[in-house]
Amino acid sequence: MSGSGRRLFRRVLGAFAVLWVLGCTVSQAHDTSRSYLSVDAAQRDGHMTARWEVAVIDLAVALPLDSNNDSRVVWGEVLAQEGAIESLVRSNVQFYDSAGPCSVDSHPLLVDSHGEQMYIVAPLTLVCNGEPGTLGVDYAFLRDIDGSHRMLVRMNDGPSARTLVVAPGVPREIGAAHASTVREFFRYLAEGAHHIWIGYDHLAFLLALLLPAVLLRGGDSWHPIPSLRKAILETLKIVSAFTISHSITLGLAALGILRPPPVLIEVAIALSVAAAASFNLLRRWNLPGAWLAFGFGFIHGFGFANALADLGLGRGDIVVPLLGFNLGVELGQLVVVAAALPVLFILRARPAYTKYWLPSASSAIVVLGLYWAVVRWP
Amino acid sequence: MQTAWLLGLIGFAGSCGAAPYRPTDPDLELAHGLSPYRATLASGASSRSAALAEAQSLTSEGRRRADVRAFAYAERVLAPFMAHIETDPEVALVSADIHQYRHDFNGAAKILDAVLQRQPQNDSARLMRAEIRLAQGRGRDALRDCLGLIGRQSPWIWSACAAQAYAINGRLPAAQRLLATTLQGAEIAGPRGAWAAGIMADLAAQAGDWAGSETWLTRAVAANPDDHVAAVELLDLWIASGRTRQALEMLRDRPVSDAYLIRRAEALASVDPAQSRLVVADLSRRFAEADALGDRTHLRERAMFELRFGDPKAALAHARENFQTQRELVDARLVLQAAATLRDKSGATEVVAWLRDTHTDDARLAPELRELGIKS
Repeated sequence: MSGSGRRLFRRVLGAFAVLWVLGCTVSQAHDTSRSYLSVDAAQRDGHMTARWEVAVIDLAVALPLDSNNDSRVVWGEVLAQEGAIESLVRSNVQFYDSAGPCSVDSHPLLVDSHGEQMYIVAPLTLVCNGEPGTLGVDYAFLRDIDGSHRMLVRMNDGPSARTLVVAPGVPREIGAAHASTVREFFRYLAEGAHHIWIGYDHLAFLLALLLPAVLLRGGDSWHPIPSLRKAILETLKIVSAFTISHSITLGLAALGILRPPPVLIEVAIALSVAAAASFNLLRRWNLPGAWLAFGFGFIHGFGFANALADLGLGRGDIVVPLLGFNLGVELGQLVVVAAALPVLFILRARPAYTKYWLPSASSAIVVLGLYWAVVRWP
Repeated sequence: MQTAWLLGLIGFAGSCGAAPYRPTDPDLELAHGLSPYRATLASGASSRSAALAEAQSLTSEGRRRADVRAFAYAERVLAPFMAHIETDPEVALVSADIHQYRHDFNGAAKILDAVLQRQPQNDSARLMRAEIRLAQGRGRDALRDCLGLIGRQSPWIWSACAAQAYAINGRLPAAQRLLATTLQGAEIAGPRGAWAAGIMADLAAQAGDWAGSETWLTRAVAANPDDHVAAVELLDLWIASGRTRQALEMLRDRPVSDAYLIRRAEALASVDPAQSRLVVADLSRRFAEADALGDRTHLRERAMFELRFGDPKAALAHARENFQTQRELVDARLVLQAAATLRDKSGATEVVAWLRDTHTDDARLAPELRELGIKS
């Protein structure tokens, strides 16, 4: 039996009253709007064939299909708009490759069904002059109307086939597997590095671990680490431990094996930042930074997986994005470490470093971590 | 492997039945019951008030048709005015509605918190926040908001709101008394009547009074045929009691949605198994595409689908993931059903903890709790 949730919405009625009208949950809704593009990338005489399929109800929003306003669309009404539909296809589904725009020939429209919904099918022939495997698509259908509309692309590339999700307004490489795999890899590599640089929580966590990496703990007090080599070694241990553990959870989450709720992970990441920094303040604790990095890295891995999911990664073609994104994360953190370590190494010998800077920076990170935990709490 | 699985299911032409064709009959119907979205969008709102009216009209129509597309259109219509969301409670409310419709309950609640901070007397925001807290299983928070409406809105509103909150606070008899008193002798008509009747039906079912629940659901659907929540609950009752033809009759001309398709597949299973298998195949395609698109709003139906037609392990995983976002009793029941099917008591831990914490009692959960050896 369905549940009790009867979410409401509001209509203004007169100057004062509100009339509440019951609603229903999205779980009962139509699917979000989507079209389909299948491309047969195996060229014949320099040609490729493609087929774009669009739901009649979506097309009816973009074009005046229902000419007699009877709230129905019949095939005759589609025929009357065939020219307009072909123009719409040309302007909204544009192909390009390394040599520039591809020329597109359209063929008579067809119909097909997806479940109970009817689709108009536009068969296309593409002529592209660039390098094989560099095909891209610039998709614009419903861009200014429906922000959740997506195009599901199937590339038939000889023996292999793969699916991609394309958002309107974002040109996307969809070319043959080997060439686009490299591009895809670098795209996700950049996204991974970008996520570290804009992910202040991960940076704060790293900083909390790096601050004491240039020191040695002797009893209740800190001493400067004697050589740069040892500082680098200590840092490498931390970074490697963090990498191993976060890679495990990132992989598990991206593959759909383990997927904790994002909101809890965000809170846990914030708390891990506070915890990591608080160990710098507890004199009696002597837990190696590498162990902290290893333990908390599991939580951060889930956070990376959420960021990866936000990029629109589905369940198909997961290996390349996963590898690229993870290496991007490593690259991003290595850049941060490479920038921070020399500075910390130089500063470590100053008495103020252990007396003031380490405790005050750690305290600030603790406060920041706790603050994030509070604001992220649902 | 993943790709192969996905390609096999996603509905590209030629992969799921007949090949595309060029019709010969100009009268062949391709779509019916078309929405007036085009006309609404074509009006081209230029001012804030016109955009607001347009967005409200779109969400209203979208809700009636159970069509999430309309919410995306409304979002675009409001986009130019979203910069002022903090100072414009009306825009904020529509935006919160869009968020909650997409199951971004926390996002919606955040917007409403801000509205209520500026305007503590904004009853619309308060009621919407209460409903969101109910969907999240946060009965105590919901109750605070519901009680805040006393004396400001009609007793129908606050008592229906509070009754739902009481029901997940261990006070089911009080909830039933409160709403029954309010509805006594009143005409159950229109969406508001259907809403209240649907809640009465839920309370009755929670108390194990199936006949009472059916009576209220019938009244709810009669008052508002577009009350999809009540319609689905009624379908479940009919299917469970073997009245499949009655269910199939009602399913005619209902929107194409996961919830209705699951009931159609169930109802057809006994009268037309081949057709039922086709509907199951369509549902598989829909869920595969939702996966490809990263859409996690179908988890309740996904769990339900796996439980009834697929893999109980996947059902438990989806039900538990869904329970992190949605904590209505139906969501709790799905977890318990999947856990009971697998005889996996540990899979039900979270739900059991939530039931104990909220002192919620529900006759519908009793069989599964018993099967799992858990004292209710």
